[in-house]
Amino acid sequence: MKENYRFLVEKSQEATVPWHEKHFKFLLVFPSVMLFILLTAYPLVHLIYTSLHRFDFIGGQFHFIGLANFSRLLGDERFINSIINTLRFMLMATFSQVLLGLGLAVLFNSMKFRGKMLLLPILILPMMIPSMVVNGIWRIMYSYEFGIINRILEGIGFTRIGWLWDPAIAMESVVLVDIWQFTPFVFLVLFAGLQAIPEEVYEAAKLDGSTKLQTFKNMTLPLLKHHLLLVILLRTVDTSNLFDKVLVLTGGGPGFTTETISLFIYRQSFVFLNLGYGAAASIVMLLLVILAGGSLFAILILGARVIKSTFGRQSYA
Amino acid sequence: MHKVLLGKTRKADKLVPYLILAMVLLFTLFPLYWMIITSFKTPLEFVARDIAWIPTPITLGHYGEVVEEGFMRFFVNTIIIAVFSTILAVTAGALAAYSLTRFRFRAKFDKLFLLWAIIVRIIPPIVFLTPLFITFRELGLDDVRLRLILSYQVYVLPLCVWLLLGFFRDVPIEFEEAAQVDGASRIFTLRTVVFPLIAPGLVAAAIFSIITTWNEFIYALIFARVSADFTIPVGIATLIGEYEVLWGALSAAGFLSSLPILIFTVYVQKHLLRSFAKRGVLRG
Amino acid sequence: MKVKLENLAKKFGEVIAVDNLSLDVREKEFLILLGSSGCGKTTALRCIAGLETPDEGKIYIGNKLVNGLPPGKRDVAMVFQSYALYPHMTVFDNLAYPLKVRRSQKDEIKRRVKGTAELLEIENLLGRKPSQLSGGQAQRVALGRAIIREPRVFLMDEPLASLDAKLRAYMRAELKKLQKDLGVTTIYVTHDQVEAMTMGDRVAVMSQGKLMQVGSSEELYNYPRNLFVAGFIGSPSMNFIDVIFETRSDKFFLRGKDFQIELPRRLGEMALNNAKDFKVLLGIRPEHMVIGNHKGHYTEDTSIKAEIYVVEPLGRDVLVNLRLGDLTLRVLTPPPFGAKMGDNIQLSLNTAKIHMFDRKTEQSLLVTKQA
Repeated sequence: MKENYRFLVEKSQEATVPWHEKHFKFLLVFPSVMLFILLTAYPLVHLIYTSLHRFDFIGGQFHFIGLANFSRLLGDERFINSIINTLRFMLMATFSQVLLGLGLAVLFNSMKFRGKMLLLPILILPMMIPSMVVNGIWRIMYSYEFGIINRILEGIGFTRIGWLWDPAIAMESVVLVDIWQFTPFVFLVLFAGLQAIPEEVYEAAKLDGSTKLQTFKNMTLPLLKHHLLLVILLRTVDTSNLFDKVLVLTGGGPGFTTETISLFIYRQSFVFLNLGYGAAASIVMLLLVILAGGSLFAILILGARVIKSTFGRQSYA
Repeated sequence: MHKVLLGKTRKADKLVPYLILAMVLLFTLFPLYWMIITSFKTPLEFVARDIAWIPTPITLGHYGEVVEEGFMRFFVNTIIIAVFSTILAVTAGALAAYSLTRFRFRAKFDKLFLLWAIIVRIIPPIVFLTPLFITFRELGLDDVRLRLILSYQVYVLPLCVWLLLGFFRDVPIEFEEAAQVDGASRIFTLRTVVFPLIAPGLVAAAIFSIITTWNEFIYALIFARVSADFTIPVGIATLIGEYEVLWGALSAAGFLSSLPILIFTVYVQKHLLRSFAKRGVLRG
Repeated sequence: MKVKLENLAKKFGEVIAVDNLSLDVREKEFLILLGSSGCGKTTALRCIAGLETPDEGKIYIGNKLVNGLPPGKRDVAMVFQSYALYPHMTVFDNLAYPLKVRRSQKDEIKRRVKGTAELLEIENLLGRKPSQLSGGQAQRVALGRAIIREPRVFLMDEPLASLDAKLRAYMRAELKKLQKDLGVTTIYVTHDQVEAMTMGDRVAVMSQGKLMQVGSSEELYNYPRNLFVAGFIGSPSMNFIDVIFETRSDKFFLRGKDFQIELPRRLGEMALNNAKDFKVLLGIRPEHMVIGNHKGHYTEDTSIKAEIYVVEPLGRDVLVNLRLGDLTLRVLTPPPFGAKMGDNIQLSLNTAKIHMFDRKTEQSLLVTKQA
């Protein structure tokens, strides 16, 4: 496939072509490269610099302190706690969203009724509206005294629940909001993937007498592999950034039960103005995310291969 | 006898998917419905023990509050920032993606560029926050809108590059070669042949970009320090206190700020599906 | 306008696409580059167009060296196999595009689009988009886009390949006539030997990046220079038999396992001049053999005994597969053909039409040394 891919010719030097034609390909990538350097590469250098310093906000001076910020981080229980919280959220949210999204996508794909496609924009509404609006709606609905959820619970004879107060369920409440907001995204990607599977595959499976479950395992899942991988990766990456939800729903509380790494960094850098300490935490987060993303990618790809070979053997039986 | 029984379960079986779908729709739509009716409720009704499914009387007072809170200004800010960061990202992204698909680069520059774009997409945005802040100060970029337009590229530029890469790859190179043989310059070819052909891709990239920048919160929270610079998400966040929530203004502002995106969504869902189907966002 | 290739070479990674190709295309000539897929013919054409940069060699258009010139400055027009009609433009805009690129006047563009459309009888299609055209119509528009520029050279890459058989036959004639009317030098790539034989003034046969032979259809058919051209040109293809070349008492013979053929003196002397080894390959086309004994060219001692293996009636002819020891020979014979599988028959060769090749070099032994 690589060999078949063709490129446009570039003229040799002898030709009398204008400067901008000769260096056209570089001119085209120039803006993006500059933006990336200015907005990502250079700031990362800055980040490393800052992490090795203590910021004195009275004098506005940076003092070099070596790796002190990092060693302090390792002993900071609040930081460790924020990592654990973030991991808990990532796991719960990604797992439930992928499961629910996959179920909904398969269900929706198998249904045939008029006006089905008109339902699609409605089903994906939550992912379209601003995150902060979503947080607002749920904050109102979760309200202990006036929230609709507790009102309904009371109405059917239960006691009120401190959705965002109770340390035992505060994180789960935040997860629920994320499920409401982003399951539609998972659904949309997987549904698009399902739509790309030709009908003949299912017809052939039917002719071979495979059951619905077999068809799902042997046909749908393997063919949906790329979309599933994509969605799991994107959700894992995005849930690792959890910030605005905990900021306005729980404020990281009760106690520190919902404080995430992002929130920790935000507070260190912009509330307590420990810029150096925040930068060190940022670097740790960066490494964790890249490590987690990379290993997840590896695990998923290897896992998909194992699944494929297992199911492949089954289909011979 | 057995057959009849079987027939009956089949019928019930057929109903189950519709029931599930109905529940999903209820779960999806209820919070939105609740936001909209809350925005029309009087305080008395809001605190009342009986649930008011439809507000009576209707009050428009909360919409007045929204205006008083300066949301018109936030709207303008958000629109300007979303539009310009989208133009920047789609233009820069399209040019880069085109160059990467159509020309050979030395030293794996193309692969490195694309890998970097993925890495940027994976890096948590908060990581860039402090250093971006410092970088902008060094460069003397003081305008908050400009700062946001630039820093939003961290989100949208990688997305545009990857999305458009798929679209460009799907355009047969013969069109450009034909134009080349006919003597068209590179830029003329790009303008008259290539861009018209990937128009759906440009639209899709623009949609993703507009939605992302319209909804962005964390950079806006840090860069916009005075209310004149606030974007809508930051404005809404100010209505949510730690102990107290301005529920009326919050739901009214929420409804208003979702409206453009909602209308947009209905209009563009086809593009969204198509670009997702292309797996342009990330290729496994 | 002449086109000249000198020692052209192009590699893609490890794959050699064009290997030391030299070729002269004459003024106003219709030259066909013929070969199976992957033989380098399209790469050679793309080098001439400027869409590939050759690794080595020179390309002249007219008397001008064009290496390094961008495609647009070579004044060549190209018709692509996929036609490459811009899908977002109407037929009018597609035709006008090359002129717009050259910043022609609006009236001028209109006039020339109209003229070209009339020539190709596509005036009624000008308002349509390419997706609304049939294969034949799209093909004409693609031609029109090349013609309208009045270029010095036409380059065509399998322009008829995606048409159905009937339309293709019709367009062959049309295209040939058009080329003669316009009098523009044309280089035409195809893998279809019928196209090559019927349309071209000359045909250049390529294999694995190398030029095997250039010549008119008759030359290629009657005097193939090497084994490849002999086997490639003609359908069904030539039969090859291992034989021993002998001279006895001033006569020339080809001796096979169970047969012996006396060669005409003219061929024998030529072969004797060229042969380096007495083991040679005998080539004979299916249409130059007959089943049964014949007089004339087909003399008594040319008869070979063989067994009928498969009989394939083709309508106008019958293709008979014969077994001769462990060899299979194909013979074309006029219907009706009565014999059945397993029958033993006698086979006669038209000795004047025999070809002989060196087994090692695969070159023909029947060429005069001057070339």
